[in-house]
Amino acid sequence: MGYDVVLTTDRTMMTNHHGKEFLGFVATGPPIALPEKVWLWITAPRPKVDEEGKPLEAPYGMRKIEAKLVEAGFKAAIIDPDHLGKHLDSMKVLMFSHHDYFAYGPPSSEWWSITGLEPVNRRSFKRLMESPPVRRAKEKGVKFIVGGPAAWQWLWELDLWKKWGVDTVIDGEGERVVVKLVEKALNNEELPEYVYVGPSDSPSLDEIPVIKAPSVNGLVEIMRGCPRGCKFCSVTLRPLRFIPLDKILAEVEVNVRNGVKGVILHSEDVLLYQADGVKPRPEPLIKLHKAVLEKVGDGSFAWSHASLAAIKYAEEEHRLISRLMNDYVLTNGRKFLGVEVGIETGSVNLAKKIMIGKSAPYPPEMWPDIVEDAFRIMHENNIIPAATLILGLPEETPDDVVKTSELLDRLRPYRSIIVPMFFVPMGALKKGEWFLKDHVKREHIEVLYKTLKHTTYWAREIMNKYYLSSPLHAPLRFILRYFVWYVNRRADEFIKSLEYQLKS
Amino acid sequence: MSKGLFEGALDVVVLDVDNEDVTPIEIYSALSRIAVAKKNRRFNLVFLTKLDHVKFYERYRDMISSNISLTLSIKRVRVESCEDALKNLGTLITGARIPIIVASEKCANLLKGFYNAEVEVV
Repeated sequence: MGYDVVLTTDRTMMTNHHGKEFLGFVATGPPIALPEKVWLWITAPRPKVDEEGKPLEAPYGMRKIEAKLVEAGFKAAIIDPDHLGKHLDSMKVLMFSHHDYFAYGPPSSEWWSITGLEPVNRRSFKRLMESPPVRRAKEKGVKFIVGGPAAWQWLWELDLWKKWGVDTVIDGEGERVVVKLVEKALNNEELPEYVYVGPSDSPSLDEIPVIKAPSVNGLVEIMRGCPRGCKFCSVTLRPLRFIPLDKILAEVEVNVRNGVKGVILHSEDVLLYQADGVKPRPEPLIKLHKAVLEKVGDGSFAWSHASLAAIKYAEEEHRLISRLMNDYVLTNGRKFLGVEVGIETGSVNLAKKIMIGKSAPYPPEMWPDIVEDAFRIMHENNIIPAATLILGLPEETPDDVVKTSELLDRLRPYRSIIVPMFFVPMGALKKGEWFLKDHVKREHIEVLYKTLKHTTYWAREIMNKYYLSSPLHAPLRFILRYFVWYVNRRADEFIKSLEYQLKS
Repeated sequence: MSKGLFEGALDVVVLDVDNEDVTPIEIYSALSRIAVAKKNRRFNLVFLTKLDHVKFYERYRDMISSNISLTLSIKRVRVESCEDALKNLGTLITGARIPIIVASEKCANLLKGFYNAEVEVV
C-alpha cells in the first residue's frame, strides 16, 4: 500500500527501549565512557517492523496524529526511519515528531551543559534529517511538517529549519489543525510556516482519537492538562480533560491485542484522574487500576508522572497508595512501579515563587515535609521514583540551594533516582561554551555531588533487584553497572574541576 | 484570508517592511486588543517583511513563544518595499474577508486606499 502521508522520527524515539521506558533517558546524554553505538543499543534498539517498515510500537503522540489522519480518510502511516526509502514514490507529506529534537529540553540540556558534548538524541535527529531518503524526499518536493512536544525548539534552530526545508512547524496539541494542514499540503496549497495552537484550540474529548496501533511500552493517556500552575511548565496552560475509562481501555486493548502486554498510564499527575480538584479520589482510581490491570494480567505497569502532594494525600487520607499497590499492582511477576516526580526545590521561599500550587492541598510551607513523606510512602510501597530538581532559576538565592541540599540529606534513605536539571537560557548551549562556568555557584556543586552520590548508590539496587532483574537483561545490567561505576569514580574528579572553574 | 489555515479566523496583515517601525510588543498588544474586541482567539497572521527567515524568527520569537492565550497561523512574505507590500496586500485581500492591518508608519500613506475599502488598520 502506498502512503501519501508518512510519519517518522529518529532512532532514539522509534524504539521500545528494551521494554524499559526509563532507559530512554540514556539518549539524553552524550556518549561518554562508551562508544555511541553502544549507547544507542542500550537506549534505542531497533523495533520490530512489518514488511513495509511500520513499527509494532511507536511513540504515543505520533499514534494519535496517525489515528486522526486515518480517520479523516488519508493514507497515512508511521514508518521506521530505516525504512523511509521504501515509501519515496508515494510519499507527499513527511511528518516528524520528537520529545527533544535539539536536546534543549531537560535533562538533555543538563548533560550537555555539564559535559560540553552534544547529546545522543540531538546527534541522532540530525543524522535522520541529513539521511539520503529524507534529503531525496525534499528534492522530490515532499512537504515537511514537524510537531510534537519539542516543536518550540525549532525557533532556536532557524538555520536548520531552513536548510532542511521544513515547511510547517506545529506547536501545541495538533488534533484540531493537523487534518487541515495535511489537506493543504496534499492539494499543494501554500502552508503557514508556524502554527501555534493556543488553549482555546485544545481538542475536546470527542476530537481526541483512539490509537489504531500499539504505543511504545503500552503508554496510554488518561488525562491532559494540569491544574497546579507551576511557572516553569507549559502543560499547565492546557485545559484539564479526563479521558473516559472506555477510551482508555480501548487503547489498552489495541496494545494487548498486538502483543504489547504492559501499560504506562500517562498523565501529568496520575493520581488526579477524576479528582476532586487536587484531592485524589479512591473510587475512580481503583476502578481505573482494576480495569486496566485485568486487561494486562502480569504485564509491566507504570505511571508516567505523579505529584508528591497527591501521593501523600492519597495515602494519609484514604490509604490509597498501599491499596492500589497491594490489591492491584504488585504481583509475583511485578515487583515495583516506576514513576517520575518533581521535587524541583527544597526551599519553601522558592516554592512559593515558582510553584505555589504544587504542594496543594497542603500549604507551600510544608513542601520539604511533603517531599519526604511522599518518598517514604513510595519506598514502603515499592514505588521507585525518578525525581527532578531544578537549579539555577532566575529567582533562586544561595539560601534556596542550601535548603535543597538539606532536603537531599533527608531523602537519602529512600530508594530513588534524583536528577538535577539546570535552568538553561536558550542559546547558551549553541554557542558551544561551557555553560556551567558562568552560572554555577558553590551551593550548586554540593547539590550536584549529593544527587550524583544518591543516584549511583540506589541505581545498583534498582537495577539488580527491580528494573533489570531478569536474566535476559544481564548484558544491559553489566554495561549499566560499568557505567555507574565509571560515573561514581569520575565524580570526585568532576567536582574538583567544577570547583577549579569556579575559582578561576 | 484564502491562504490562511483557520477557517473563520481573523486575518491580520502585519506590515513590517522597515521592520523597526512595528515592534513585536506592538503586534502582540494589537492582537490582544483585537482578541478582546472581536471575541476571537484565532489569527491568520501574514507578515509582509524585508527580513529573511532567520532574522524574522529571531525578531518575533518571543512574541510567538509567549503568546500563550492565542492560536496563530503565521506566514511570512518577503517584500523589498512599501510598494511591493501594497501589491502583495492587494493580492492577499482578494478574498472573502477584509484583513486587519497592523501598519508600519512609513507605509501609512499607502494605506489610505484601504481605509476607503473598509480595511481595519490597528
